[in-house]
Amino acid sequence: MKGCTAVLTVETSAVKTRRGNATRPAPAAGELRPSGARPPWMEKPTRLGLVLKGLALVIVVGLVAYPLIGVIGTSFASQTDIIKSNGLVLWPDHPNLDAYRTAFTGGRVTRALFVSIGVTVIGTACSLLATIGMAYGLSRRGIVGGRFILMTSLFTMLFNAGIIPNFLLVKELGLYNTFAALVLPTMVSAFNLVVMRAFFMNLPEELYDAAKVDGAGDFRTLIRVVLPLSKAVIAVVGLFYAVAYWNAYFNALLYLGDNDKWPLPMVLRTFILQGQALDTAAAGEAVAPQQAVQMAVLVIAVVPILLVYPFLQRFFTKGVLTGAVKG
Amino acid sequence: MSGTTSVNRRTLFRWGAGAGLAVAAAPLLAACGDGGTEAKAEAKSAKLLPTTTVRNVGIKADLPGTAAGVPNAFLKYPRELTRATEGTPLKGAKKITAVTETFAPLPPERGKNAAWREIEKLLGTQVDFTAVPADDYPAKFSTMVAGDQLPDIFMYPETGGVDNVGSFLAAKCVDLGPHLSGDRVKDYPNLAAIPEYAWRDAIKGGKLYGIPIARSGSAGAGFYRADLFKQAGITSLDQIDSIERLVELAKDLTDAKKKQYFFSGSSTTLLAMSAGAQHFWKFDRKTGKWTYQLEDDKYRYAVETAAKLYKAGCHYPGTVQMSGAQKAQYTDLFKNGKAAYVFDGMPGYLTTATGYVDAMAAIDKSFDVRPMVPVSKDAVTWTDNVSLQNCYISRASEERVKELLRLADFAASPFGSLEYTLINYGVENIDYKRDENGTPVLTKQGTQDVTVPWGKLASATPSFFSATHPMAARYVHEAYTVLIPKLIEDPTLGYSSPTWASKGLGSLYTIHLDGVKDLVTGRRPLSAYDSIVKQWRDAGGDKCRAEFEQASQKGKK
Amino acid sequence: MTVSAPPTAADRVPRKTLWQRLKRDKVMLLLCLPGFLYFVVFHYVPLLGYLVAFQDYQPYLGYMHSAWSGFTNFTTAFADPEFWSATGNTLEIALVQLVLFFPVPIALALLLNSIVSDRLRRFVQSVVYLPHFIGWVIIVSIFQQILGGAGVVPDLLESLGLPRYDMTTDPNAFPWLLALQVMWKDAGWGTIIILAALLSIDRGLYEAAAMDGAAQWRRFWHVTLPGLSPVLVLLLILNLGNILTVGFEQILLQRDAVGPGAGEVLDTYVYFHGIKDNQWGTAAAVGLVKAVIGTILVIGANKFAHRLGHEGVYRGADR
Repeated sequence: MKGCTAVLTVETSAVKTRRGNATRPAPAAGELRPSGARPPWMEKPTRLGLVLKGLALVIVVGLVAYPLIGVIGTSFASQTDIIKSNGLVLWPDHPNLDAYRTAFTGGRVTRALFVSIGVTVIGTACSLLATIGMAYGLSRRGIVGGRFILMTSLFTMLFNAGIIPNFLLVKELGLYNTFAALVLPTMVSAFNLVVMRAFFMNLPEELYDAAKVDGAGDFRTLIRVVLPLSKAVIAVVGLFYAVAYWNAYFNALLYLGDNDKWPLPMVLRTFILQGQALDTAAAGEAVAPQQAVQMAVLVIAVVPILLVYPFLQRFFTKGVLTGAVKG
Repeated sequence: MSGTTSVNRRTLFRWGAGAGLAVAAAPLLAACGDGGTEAKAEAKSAKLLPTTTVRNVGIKADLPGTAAGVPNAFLKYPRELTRATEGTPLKGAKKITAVTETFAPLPPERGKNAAWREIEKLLGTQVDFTAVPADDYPAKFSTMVAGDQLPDIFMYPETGGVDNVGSFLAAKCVDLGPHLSGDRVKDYPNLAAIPEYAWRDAIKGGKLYGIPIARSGSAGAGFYRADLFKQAGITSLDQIDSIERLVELAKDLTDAKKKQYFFSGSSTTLLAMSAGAQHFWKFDRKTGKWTYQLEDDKYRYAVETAAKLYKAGCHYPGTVQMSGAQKAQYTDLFKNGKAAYVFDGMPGYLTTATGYVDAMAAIDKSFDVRPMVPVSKDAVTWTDNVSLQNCYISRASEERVKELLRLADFAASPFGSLEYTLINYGVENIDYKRDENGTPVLTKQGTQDVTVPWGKLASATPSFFSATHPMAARYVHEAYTVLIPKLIEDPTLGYSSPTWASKGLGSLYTIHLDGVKDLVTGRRPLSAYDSIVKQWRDAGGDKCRAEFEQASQKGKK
Repeated sequence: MTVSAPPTAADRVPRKTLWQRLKRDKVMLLLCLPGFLYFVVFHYVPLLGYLVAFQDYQPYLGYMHSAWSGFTNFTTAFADPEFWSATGNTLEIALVQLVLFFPVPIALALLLNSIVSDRLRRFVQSVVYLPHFIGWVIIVSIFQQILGGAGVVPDLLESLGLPRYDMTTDPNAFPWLLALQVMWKDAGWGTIIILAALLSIDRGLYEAAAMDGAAQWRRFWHVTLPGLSPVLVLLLILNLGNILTVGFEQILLQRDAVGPGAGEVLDTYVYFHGIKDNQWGTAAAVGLVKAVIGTILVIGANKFAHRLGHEGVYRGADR
């Protein structure tokens, strides 16, 4: 394997021919491309291509941004702003923080925020550990019972027994009304598992072989070789898990008996559903407009994710495999 | 196609897949006595009903109600708060657990909630609530039942619940007959003020199990903009003396160019009540025959009229087709002035800040919103708002049941009492302040503190009061003065049919409503009306009829 | 062009006894253990709950005491024309979504990946994935404000002298409307996984291809696509498994806008004919049928992928 380019485990005719083409000198792999620069193999785009690309980007961003700005604008809007615009307010004439104040008075949201952060951090850590271990364990062919384990896991995506059996299980395990009930029942997602496994299997076989030659055991190979090269997929799967924990309210609804333990999405839900009140005996004075509260609640829920995302993006932009296998 | 999409799909699928019991030991039915699980059609015995009396704690209503059901209305909040319960009703009782639905944001915890603490002090014990958003309550309730985790006292969910209420209650809950039937209710004077129609609905499986969260009997006929009606020359609803006149008015007040429409949301209910159509079932005592709403020619006429109005473009586009979850959308259109009429329940009228009166006054002072009544001389009012639901008490000792009933009695305290004020306004100077007219005005903390769902444990007929718009309380009172005499009997309160109980407002009503929406919006021709009736009958409607007829036969003997 | 998997380390050694293999794989198996236990406990144990598909289940009686009903729950559903109409609608909606929505995140990811400036790329990325977090109630109401009868688009059509057209209440347009909404909500979110796959392609391959004189299009065809294909095939197969499950909340909100004739799907059917009547058995029966069909589709699609030389979701019996 010395001196040849990396070979993906997934074959295509293209890659195969390249593998056969052993006379070609090894490319100068090894250096990360400087951030923001055009990779050396990419030709300068044509003017028309640039214009079309720019146009496409503007349309995509515009389509997405318009309602988003509306969400943020509405969260600061007064009742009159909302009526005038008949729904989404892009730029409120009378901006105010009433909606956010409404959400934060009483201390429930602040408390729930801490619960949610705790559940998300601990849950994501547990999920990633279990998923990485399993995906790695199953990434090698020929493991005893590997196929059985994989199939067993996979089919959990298709079957779901429903709320009552799941509830009874949680109760019998003694998890009812504990925070563990927010983590354990959704700890591994079969989808994330197969995605991660697919990425691990995509790593060049030579890497595994090289590690073996160096005398590294399976565990060492995971830590020293596989994980450093899989930052992108770990970031992605970690994001999927974190977002799932962050947004999950249904398990909290069923598995927690105690309003004080509710995580953020469950508490925020009470603000959103308030709009459908048929029977509110007495709400308060100076209540912020319903739509504004709904949008504010949405913003409160999304901001933490927005804060974490740029951190994760770092893993998305580095050339992960470049130079991994050099001569 | 991302990971989360598939996760989301599965979370939603939870409802789609079934249920069952895997590892837990099955709740032992045998230990709970009554073993029969077969629901029976039967007449509800009047002997079980508590003797109802008007509650008087010494506060005179400005606009007094009537024995027939017109509720009290108040233009001022009483200065002197009188007690509606005696002493410390739950002194020495051990902690009570309660689960109810809620429409409000979660209340602050006890330590930060003056109103909650004060009520518990007055009660003499601690009450731990789990408040669940109304949309999520059916799911929560199912798991509570399956997991045998029912609290001391709980509200039954508005939708969902269990298939066969009677035998569920027999297995899990306390028969309240020995505590409440006849004169025995006198021990709980606030509960004794709950009207008879609500008690009828609390009889399940031949026994009195429920404590009603009573409502006014009729939910009204929606709301209209008096200022717009005036522009069209209508200064009194009496002028609309026929459905034809209403149709004319609707066309007058629709101007699509200006995005101004007559109806926001459905028009069928108003038209049907105005046409004199029956509500759900009608029981003809002479012939012993039961007929369903869809089979009523007057209802059919209302549906046809609605279709005509739809074709004429009198509905705000898209709102007729909106689902219940989108109600906020079409009621907002009305609040924002886009329509002259909306159908919504009366409780939404006077609610502080978010109700029609307050919300629309904040939008435009010229908006004059008033409760609508069914028009034309044949008009009737449906008995469609008997109670929000019932509360039930889990099996417990005689003594414990008495304590829980005293808690319910406390929750049902009438308007203006100390108990009522604590529940709805909290503690003076912390949760509310009196303004110059003596009207309690909630403080910021107050708006949060009063969301503890005490009112979901029991309620007598609500009184109407508006601190901000005394005129509005008068309008409601006037509306009920018109509505209540037109009230038609709901025979399902007196007789039960198991099929109706499990499907009537479930899959059968889905067929009914889907069919009507298809006809009104022209997705199906009006000639399809009969096939919808047939579909409804075959899906279980005829079975309900047979059961009701059997029940009324039995009731005769 | 069917090619077999490359020989792996495990292959080259002669066949071992089970005990030897266990010993060899002990670390790998130990790493699998927590996840495997999780699946068994939290997914397989509750599957016993499917028993209620054959019962007249009452939660307060539990499954020990509920009456057995044989196949009644299945036959009731199968005999109902509404069930079949819902199945048809579900398939139509799922297919439109698969065809219309599936390629969108891929195209978007390629577009994003081609942005040279890091800052711009990060910005665009952060914007396009945000709609994923907006709930369906809000998205549906935004669409109604824009496309609905009194909305912006009909006004625009009218001002152009065209008839007003309301897409939100047109039963024929329903699958397309749903696909548009899904696109808006999740196209950006879907790029995340594709971008990760793009990043995993060895840059050496691009360099080598460029040196061989392969132009942009050829590089895409011979390097990018093969590099993405394992993940794309995986996603496609998993989507097939879920083909009978289309967005429940999204559809429940808009079902009435087009009527059950076009808007009833299997999950809403179960909701209105099972859950609302507290017929847990009906719900479980339909759920079971869906799961079995999903399983068959996944196995079939996976076999098909193998024929094309792809890894698919799992690989059949090696050794």
